[in-house]
Amino acid sequence: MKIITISAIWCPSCLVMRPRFEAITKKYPSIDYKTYDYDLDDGAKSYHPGNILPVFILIDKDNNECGRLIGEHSVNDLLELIEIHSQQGGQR
Amino acid sequence: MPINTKAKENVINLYLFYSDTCPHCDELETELIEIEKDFPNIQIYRYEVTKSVKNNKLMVEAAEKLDTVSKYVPFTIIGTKSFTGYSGTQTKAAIEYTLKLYSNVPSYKDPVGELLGIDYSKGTLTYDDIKKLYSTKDIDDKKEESIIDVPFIGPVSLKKLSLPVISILIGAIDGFNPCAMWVLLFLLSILIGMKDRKRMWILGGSFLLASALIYLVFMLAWLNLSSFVGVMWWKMLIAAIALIGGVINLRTFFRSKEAGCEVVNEDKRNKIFAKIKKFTSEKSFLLAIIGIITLAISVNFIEISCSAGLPAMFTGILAMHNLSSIEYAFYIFLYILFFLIDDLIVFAIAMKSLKLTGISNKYVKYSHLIGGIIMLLIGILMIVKPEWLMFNF
Repeated sequence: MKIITISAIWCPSCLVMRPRFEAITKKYPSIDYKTYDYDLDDGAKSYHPGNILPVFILIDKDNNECGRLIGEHSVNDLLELIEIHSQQGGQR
Repeated sequence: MPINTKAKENVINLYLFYSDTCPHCDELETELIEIEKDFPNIQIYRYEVTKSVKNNKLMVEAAEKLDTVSKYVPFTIIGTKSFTGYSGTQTKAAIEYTLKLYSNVPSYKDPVGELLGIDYSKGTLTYDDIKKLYSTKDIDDKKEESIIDVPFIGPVSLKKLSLPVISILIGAIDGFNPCAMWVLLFLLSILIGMKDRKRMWILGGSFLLASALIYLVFMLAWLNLSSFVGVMWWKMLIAAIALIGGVINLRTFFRSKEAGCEVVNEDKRNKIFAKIKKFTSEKSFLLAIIGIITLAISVNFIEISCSAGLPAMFTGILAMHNLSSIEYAFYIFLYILFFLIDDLIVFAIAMKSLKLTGISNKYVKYSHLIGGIIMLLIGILMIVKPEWLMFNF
């Protein structure tokens, strides 16, 4: 499984989510994490982030999007999303 | 103007400046008819100010004599005491209280009588003098209703508490709307990267100061505008701003699904980022400061509209009160301080820890709800019970 994060320097919600996301990376160190800046990284737009940031996208082993969270969420919401899709066959 | 045929001793002159189109003036007039029955020793002089330039000028001069301003009618004067507007039973009680005090003295200082060239009392006692000599618990009862006992603090005047509370509350709600926060965050991220504390402090501080300044200029301009607009039109304007702003805020609350940052105006954002990068890397410190200040002014000038009328509504309410210039400046300063408080927190943390902090957009969402409700309430009160918005009771 891979987790893509799309955020922006100017986005307060992205700053709020940063420590929560760090907690996830500590809990699941073997997941592949990639962060894009909405304005600075061309790759961000390829994931169609929409108009609310931050965006967390789960990508399965076949490189398909299998889940997405938009905006501010609790650590538990992030954990739940990862757990659901792990059970559905994504690798951690 | 009625011809005075009474002896001046023990007669109390009451000067009323009013407008034929002012409904509160009609209400006060009804009360004065009752007051005249209870105080047969008063002589009321009436001056209509909207149809007579001379009377309007007299009202301004009378206010100057008392070292006050006369922005609204009805404007009532007894001796050296003046009352602006009409707040129902509270105004009637205050006038009766003043007449009771003045009834104790055979003569008193009457600067407005002197100005108007009528037969007036030539005494020297001011309102404050008479109050010190003659105020009793019985007469003070009505005034004491506006004083409350706060534990650990003591007696607090509600009159003095209401405007500061309103300034802080509305300023804080306006501040939660992060219209220019994104520019500050981008600026701070560039400055943190530079690792030059002096530059960070001065450029970041300049941005915040300029933001405060543009708000101050807008609010002062709005305050001055009130001098040129008639009372009724001013109240309707403020009511319209409050109602429209309230609807916009509530609509924003109900429409926002996720708490997050909305990506808008990509071109505008990229242009601003380019300017920030250019100004912060400017070798000349002075040019960098000028660039940042110019940017702050232009960003905040546009973003004032994003506040959905809150500063205009607040200043409109302030303009309805008979305050000194220093008091107006104080309440506007209080508003701007609490408006900027989230920016100041983010800046302080960035300076101390060299890290950026964000304030959750959940609070922004609820600020739209609270702000929307308050604005709708104020808009409705401005139409049906404007005297409830006069906090100097």
